[in-house]
Amino acid sequence: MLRSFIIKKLFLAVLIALGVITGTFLLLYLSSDPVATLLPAEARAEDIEEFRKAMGLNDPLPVQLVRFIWQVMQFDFGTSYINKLPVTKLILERLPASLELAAAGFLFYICFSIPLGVLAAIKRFSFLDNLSTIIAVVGMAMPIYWYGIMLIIFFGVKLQILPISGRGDFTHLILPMVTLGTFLAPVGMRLTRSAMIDVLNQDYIRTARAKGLSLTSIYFKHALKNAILPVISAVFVQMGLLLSGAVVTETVYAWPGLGRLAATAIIAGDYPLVRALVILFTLFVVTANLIGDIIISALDPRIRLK
Amino acid sequence: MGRRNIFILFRSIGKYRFGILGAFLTMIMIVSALLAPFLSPLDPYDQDISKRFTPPSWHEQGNMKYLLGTDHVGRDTLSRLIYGSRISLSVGLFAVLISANIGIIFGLLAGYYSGFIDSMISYLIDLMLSVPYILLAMALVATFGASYVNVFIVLGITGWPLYARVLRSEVLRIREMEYIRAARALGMKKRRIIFLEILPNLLNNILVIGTIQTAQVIIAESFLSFLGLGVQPPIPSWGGMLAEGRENMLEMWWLAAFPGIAIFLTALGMNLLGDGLRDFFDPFKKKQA
Repeated sequence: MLRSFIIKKLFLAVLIALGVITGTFLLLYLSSDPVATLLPAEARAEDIEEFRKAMGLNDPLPVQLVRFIWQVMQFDFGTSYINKLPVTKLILERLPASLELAAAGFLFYICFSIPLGVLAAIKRFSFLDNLSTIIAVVGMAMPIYWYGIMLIIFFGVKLQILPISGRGDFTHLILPMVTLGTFLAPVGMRLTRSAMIDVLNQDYIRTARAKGLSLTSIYFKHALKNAILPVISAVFVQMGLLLSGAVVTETVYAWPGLGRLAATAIIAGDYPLVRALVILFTLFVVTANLIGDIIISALDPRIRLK
Repeated sequence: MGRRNIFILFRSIGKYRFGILGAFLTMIMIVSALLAPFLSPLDPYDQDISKRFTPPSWHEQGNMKYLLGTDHVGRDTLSRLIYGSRISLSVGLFAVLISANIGIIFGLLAGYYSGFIDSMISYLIDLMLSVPYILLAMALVATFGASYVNVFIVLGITGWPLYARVLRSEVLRIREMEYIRAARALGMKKRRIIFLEILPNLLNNILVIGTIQTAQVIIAESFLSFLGLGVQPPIPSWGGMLAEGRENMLEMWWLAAFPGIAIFLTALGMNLLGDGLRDFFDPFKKKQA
């Protein structure tokens, strides 16, 4: 049962990956001509023809598509239009910075939203619960890039205690981390709170209370253990949000990661690079969703029947 | 109106206070967009270089003529904010109309006809939701060219999966209800069943999703304009004003702060209104999450 569910999800993930690769391939095919961007404008007609043949641009579309899929499977995304370097190299250069920021933002998010969500669920309708609701509502409506700019103005310009852009020592990481983490927090807080409330309403918690177990033991040993895993799997399913947040955060703080690379490539019209990044980001989301689905279905057999 | 009715009225106002606050904020934004020429104290395009970077009026160097100060070419910030609401709200409205129409059609088709059509549409939904939304919007706008029309078209055609997914599962539920079976048994045509019997029951959902999506679209549009991928200057858009204000944020924080506050209040109003509508339409599910 679990195995067939996983196989089904895996199959869907592969289909989605193929769909995104095809979609980005077609978009690039329709929107730009590599001859015009890679060859000098005064190139002779024979040279252009030679180039088209060498690049395989005269082959039928399906042949080109299959070749592209094959290249992607080998992590070959072609050459950047702007600085003529292999796209894969450009991406690998920026990857560590992105991973650093994503990990830090994620850590901040978990440390902030899960405890607050749990406390809000335990003390329902208390001051803390209201505060977490306000944070969630405000956080959902706040443009994250504006929030980042306001943090820069306050901590970087007024107080002058933190650097305002770029990557360097740990202090450079603080503002981007807080920005990204705050962007994700409302979702995590709501998820944790409702998962925790669900668990606290279960019969076995009532039994534990009736047995006279201590509240700490009820909340942390019995309730949180059951509430936390659905939250974690939901977090995996929300991974697309992390990437969108990273694109915005990296742009605001001039953080040299993949998100900023994507923004600059999009503005410069560097289509092979944009295509590669869209594909990679999507593959990341698909993989994270798959992991989330597997965790939740392994934990809760009811999900598999849907 | 008896005493009891007044009591009930006040109680329901209390129950939906956040929704009412949201409706109020939304109304302010709509009114400022509709009446922009009458409300704005000055012409939003009128430049006066000698008055550039005037701080807000409560500042010691402020000027009562420019309540919220002026920007880098001496245009009145308040007037530009008021006109900016036109861009944000109209992009929101048009994008939501596009998304809702595509999403409703796909949702109805997928929910009513199971099998191949459903699989295809569900696949499309999963596919669209796997691509990071803001990245897709940026790439598409850049490909087709940055302009007002392209921004709402792109935000419209990338926003439909939310409607389709929710409506599909609603249709799956409604389809099995007695009155639909009765309609089918009476020989009613499929198209009539879908549009006259099922669709009206989905309007609540559509309204709620539409309100909340408007907030997301307004934030996304402002970010695109912020990057220079959206509405082009000198048209006053909140995102564009933020980008201009950012250039001088070291000395004049307010230039970047005000447009952001406008975006925030609009999105907040729409979100609160959407949540309020959801509670209003579905009191039983109220306040689980």
